[in-house]
Amino acid sequence: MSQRRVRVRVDPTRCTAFGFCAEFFPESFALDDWGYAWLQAAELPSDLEPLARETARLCPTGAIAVEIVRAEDGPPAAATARPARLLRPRHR
Amino acid sequence: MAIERHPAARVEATGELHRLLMPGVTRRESLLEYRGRGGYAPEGWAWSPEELRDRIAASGLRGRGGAAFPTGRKWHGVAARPGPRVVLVNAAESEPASAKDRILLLRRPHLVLEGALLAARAIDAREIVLYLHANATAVRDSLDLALRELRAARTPAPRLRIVTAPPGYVAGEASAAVRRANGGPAKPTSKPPRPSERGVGKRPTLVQNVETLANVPLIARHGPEWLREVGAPSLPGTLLVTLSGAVNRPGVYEVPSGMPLQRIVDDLGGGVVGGASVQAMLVGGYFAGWLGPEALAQGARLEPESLRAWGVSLGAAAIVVVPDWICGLAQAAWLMRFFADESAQQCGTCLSGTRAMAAVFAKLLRGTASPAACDRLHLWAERMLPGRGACGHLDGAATAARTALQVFADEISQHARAGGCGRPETVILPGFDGGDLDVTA
Repeated sequence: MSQRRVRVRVDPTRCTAFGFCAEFFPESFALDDWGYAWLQAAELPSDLEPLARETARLCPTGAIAVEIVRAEDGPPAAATARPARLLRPRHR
Repeated sequence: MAIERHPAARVEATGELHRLLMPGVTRRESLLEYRGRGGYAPEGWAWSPEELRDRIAASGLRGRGGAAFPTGRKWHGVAARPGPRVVLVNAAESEPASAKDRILLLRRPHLVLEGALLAARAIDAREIVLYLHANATAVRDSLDLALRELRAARTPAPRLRIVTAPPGYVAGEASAAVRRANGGPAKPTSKPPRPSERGVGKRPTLVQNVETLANVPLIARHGPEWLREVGAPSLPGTLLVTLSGAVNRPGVYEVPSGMPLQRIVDDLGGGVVGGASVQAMLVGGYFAGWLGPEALAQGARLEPESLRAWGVSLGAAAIVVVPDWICGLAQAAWLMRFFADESAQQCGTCLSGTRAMAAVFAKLLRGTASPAACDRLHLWAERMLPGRGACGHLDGAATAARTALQVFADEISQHARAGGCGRPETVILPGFDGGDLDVTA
């Protein structure tokens, strides 16, 4: 069994720069210079899925989507697989 | 020194290469004339939908609208989704530096329409939408006449309808086209869903550029190998290049892909106006990035891999040549202003980011940008803004900024030292009317 892959998306047309995401889940969300959600990693290790879902629920404009990546979607993009900023180890 | 501002002033097929544009076709080709040149030949229509898709895939045809996506893969993808399906012919050539789709539609509308009909057959589409700008009246007339001829000839076809969009850079984006065809504004939507998943009338929709479709009947007739006979292996076939800016012979040219840019400027363009040197050029259109003269000297070629090595993309092969006797940084600054003005203003990041970058570029031009602002600009263009918008507009703006910072680096220093470079700040980019460069960030 391969590990469950979790993908986070921000709908840029919905984001209105509340900034709750960056406050609640700073490992994954930063804010850009104008306060809009700046996703630091498109894919997350599965242990962060609950945190990602809670963040999505908190977003007042519903701009954040969390989805499970299907195997047929191919390997994660190298640039987004696991950025240096995401400090939590995959296996604890 | 005068610069022709109308890139479509001259249309030539180069050498022996007459595939899409033909030297003999200088006015709208009628259906009869098109049939006389092989149009609707039975051998092109002898294939099953699946065979057609396979033929296009085997030819290596890639989209000519800007993304160079493999056409066969796109067709298979749409065909794999449950029908009914739709073909949307994207004739909204929003790129100001590009005139090739317009030329094709004015001169050879039936080549494009047969391509659309074959595409509809290949994916079993019930409807074809012809999408164009409302102010493209000549193109509209050409298509109307062509459709009338098709009907008079009782050519079997799915439902065909024309949808128009108001002018605007992002109106030509695929999801904007779909949204408009569905009765909405011509503005992009967030993906997913993509048009191939949920497009016109919520149906899987194949959105295809005009030049891409023009290749289809020829591949259907002559076979996949025919396309590969010319051009670079990475992007087989010919490209319609729109050459403008400070060249002696601007125009739309049909060339094999992979042609060295230096040859395009010298042989096709007849060199730079006044015998001057190239200071910089846009190769793919406004969104595809700036290229410096060293790229020409080192043999950069008109195909995706070669251009990617220089940090730019092939885009729509819309080339604008900036000569060394005008201020290049002014061109870059105005281009940033264009991106700010043309934002659909749907994504906060795009609206804010394009304006902020344009504001710093205006300061760079006057030599008044602070070092902190320059650092920020680099961060925005290189890391903070790419990949953030619902469509490619913000990516285009970031690419324009990132490449301008490299290509015009010396000029930026000079402007910072002396407040300018002493050269005229005339804007030679097509589609600019002048005015005040200042924007409010």
